[in-house]
Amino acid sequence: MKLHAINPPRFIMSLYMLVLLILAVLVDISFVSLINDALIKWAMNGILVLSLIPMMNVGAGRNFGMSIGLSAGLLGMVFALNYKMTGWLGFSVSLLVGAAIAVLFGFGYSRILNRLKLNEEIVGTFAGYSFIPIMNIFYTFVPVTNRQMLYPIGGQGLRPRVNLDIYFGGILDRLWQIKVGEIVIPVGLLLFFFVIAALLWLFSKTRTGIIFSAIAENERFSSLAGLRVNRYRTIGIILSMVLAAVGVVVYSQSYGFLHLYDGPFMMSFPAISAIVIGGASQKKAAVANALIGTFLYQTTYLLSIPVANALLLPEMAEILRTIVTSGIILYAFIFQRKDAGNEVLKK
Amino acid sequence: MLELKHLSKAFDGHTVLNDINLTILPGKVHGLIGANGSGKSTLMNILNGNETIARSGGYTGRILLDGRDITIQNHSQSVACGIAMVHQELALFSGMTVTENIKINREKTRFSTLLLPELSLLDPNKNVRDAQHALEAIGAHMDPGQVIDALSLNQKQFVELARELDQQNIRLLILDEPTSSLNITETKALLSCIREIADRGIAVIFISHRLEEIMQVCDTVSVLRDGTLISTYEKADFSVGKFADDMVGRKIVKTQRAAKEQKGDVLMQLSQINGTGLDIREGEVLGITGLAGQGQELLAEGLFGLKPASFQARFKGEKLSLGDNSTLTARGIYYLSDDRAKTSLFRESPVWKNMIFGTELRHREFLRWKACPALSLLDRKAIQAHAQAMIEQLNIVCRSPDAPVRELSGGNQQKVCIARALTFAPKLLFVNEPTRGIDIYSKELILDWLLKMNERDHTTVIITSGELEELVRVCDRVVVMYQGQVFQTFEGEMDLEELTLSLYGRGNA
Repeated sequence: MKLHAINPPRFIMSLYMLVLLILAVLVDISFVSLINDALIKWAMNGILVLSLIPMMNVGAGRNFGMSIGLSAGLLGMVFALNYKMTGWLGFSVSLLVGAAIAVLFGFGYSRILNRLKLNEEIVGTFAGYSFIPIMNIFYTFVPVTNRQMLYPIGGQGLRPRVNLDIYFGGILDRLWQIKVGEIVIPVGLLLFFFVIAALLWLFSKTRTGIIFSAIAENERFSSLAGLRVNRYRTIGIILSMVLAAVGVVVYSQSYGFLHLYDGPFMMSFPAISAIVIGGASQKKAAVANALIGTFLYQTTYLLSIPVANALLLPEMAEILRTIVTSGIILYAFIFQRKDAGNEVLKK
Repeated sequence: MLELKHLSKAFDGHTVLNDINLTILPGKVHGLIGANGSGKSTLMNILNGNETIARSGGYTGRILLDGRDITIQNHSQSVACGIAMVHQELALFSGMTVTENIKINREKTRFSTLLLPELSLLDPNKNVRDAQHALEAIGAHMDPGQVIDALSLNQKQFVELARELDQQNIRLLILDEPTSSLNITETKALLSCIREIADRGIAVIFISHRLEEIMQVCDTVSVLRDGTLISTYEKADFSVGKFADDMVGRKIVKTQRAAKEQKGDVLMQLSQINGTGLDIREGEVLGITGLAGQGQELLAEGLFGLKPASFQARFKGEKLSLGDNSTLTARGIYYLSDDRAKTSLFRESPVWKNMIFGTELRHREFLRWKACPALSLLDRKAIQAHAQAMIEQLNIVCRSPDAPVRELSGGNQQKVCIARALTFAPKLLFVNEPTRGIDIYSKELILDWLLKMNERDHTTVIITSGELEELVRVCDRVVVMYQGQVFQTFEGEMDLEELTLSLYGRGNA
């Protein structure tokens, strides 16, 4: 699919956003705060969406097992918080430790996926889901000494949510803010996001990037040309996991909480939904797909909350979001099947 | 019976068929020849109701069946008119048995229920008998209970043919390159079977690149060139020379090797090929041939890990492990498979990428940051220049180096593969069926370039092919494989007759 072609999900989402915008005008919602929130939501979720790209481009599918990488990022933050590292130190140590653990996790995960080629997405879903309870057991027993992270009663096991305000909550959001009238542009956060996007884009143009897309297109030929296919797949999977870990650290600092236990449970679906809206196909995802998709997805969600509150039930926004998220993923699978069918027919 | 009048077809304003007038008679075999991209496939796709035709705006002109106007917009209309087609690429259910494939959608049932006929019980015996009957009618002997996966390519071809002929009201049978993957005996069997089909009163359109077959089996031959019907010949006027002239519109100069004086050292040693061995000498052009299924393609495919194999390979004395492709390519051993779509091309990718893929480490000029190839950007300028030069040298017909390779015709796709081999500049090149399914002009050009690589770049070339006449012309030595063993080696002046006998395991081994 062409990058600039409007695919049905993007069209529907744009239309949906337009309807919401009109409704928002009708119910008189403050657009200033909406724009401020939209910018932050875009960058805070954007890296998670970007993290899907390396795996998709190497032909290992959309990363439904993202929660494994997310857990690595959470562990990074648990480490930094346990030693009461605050500010930039806490943030960077979280990133570094999270990334290091993600490399390990990613390596193990790639061993599984390389054995189960063509089934990466369903295997990833189950691997991701089964990893969460394993981590939950770990969070319960991990010998953390920082009292603020432990359950107040009993003093053992991590709390589900740890407030990051005194550590590094909002550290990127507040960096280099520029105020234009009432609109606040979080330059630091956006810059961090764009730099990662730019690096990924550049990576796709390198020899390794070209090899990635070649493997996704024809693995057999790539192997005949002398490439160690599994090694490149491993690199792609590790890269995705590291970016997921980085993404969750950035997400948490915006969110203001370290959300453990079932926190990463439902984070892969919105990300995958967003990149599909952005126009990515199963084996071809561009950085622009992620940027456009995340913006449309997150802004629509943001708009739907006040509109639903004013016009429908307060819970309606979340229900709509679930329908949209799952519906888009369903669409992606249907569309992809149709693609494959055409391929067979041509033969 | 079938008449085409002023039939034309254009894709996006680009005319591929121009005012075709053709009459097909029942009981006759009508040959259709033309270079790749001359419009044969498009014409057949129209008759077969292929959906790409309707999707791209349909055709203009008239199709008359028994004098009545008919329109063919989809496949079922074509079937209703009694038109059946066997495609060059096989369309079979690989996990199902021969019977199931032949009888698909026409299964015999034990008793048919009026209500929900889809749920009626199949009659396996009747189906097997039908399948057996259909297979015997075309001279193929195989167990109808076998699974398609277990069959060789040529057996699959027979199954496909049997399936089409099992249809009841068949009036016209279209065969698109049915013999391209068959060996001599099977071809013979198929050709005589085609005659029999025609004698039953069915009209046959026979498309082939092998002119000898056309001469042998057809009653009428039409030549297409660039979407125009150039000429139609009756049996009495057949002549290979005329056909070839009409097809390419220019004289073909056949490639011929210059005899080499001295023999090179042993470059690669293959041993334990079912108890036999083969030495490949540096700088030679070696042909490997055999009847289908005698293991001739297994040497290259086994070496590159495409199929399990148990022979041993030594390159300049160093032991190689089979399937370790990165070591093989690092030593300068390269392989071009006959299955272009699956193993030799990125169909969706542009021509330039298909030309340089995997050669960047040997051509640092394609990289911007030569110190770190893995993270280097590609030098698009150098690559474009290289691709453009290759397109000109090999006479590849394409819009531009950025055009996706799937847009190219088969012959041009093969030239892209050859271009990649040229770019790679291997020490030792394995090519499998380099001229299969390709028009005469491209064929000679490809053979010519293989020889050029051999002479200019001192590449040792190993051609696995069933085209004996080509091998004799091009190769220094020809090795015949029989029952998985190296059976006989021919050198110097090769006698085509002796070579042919050797294929069948006869000769002084």
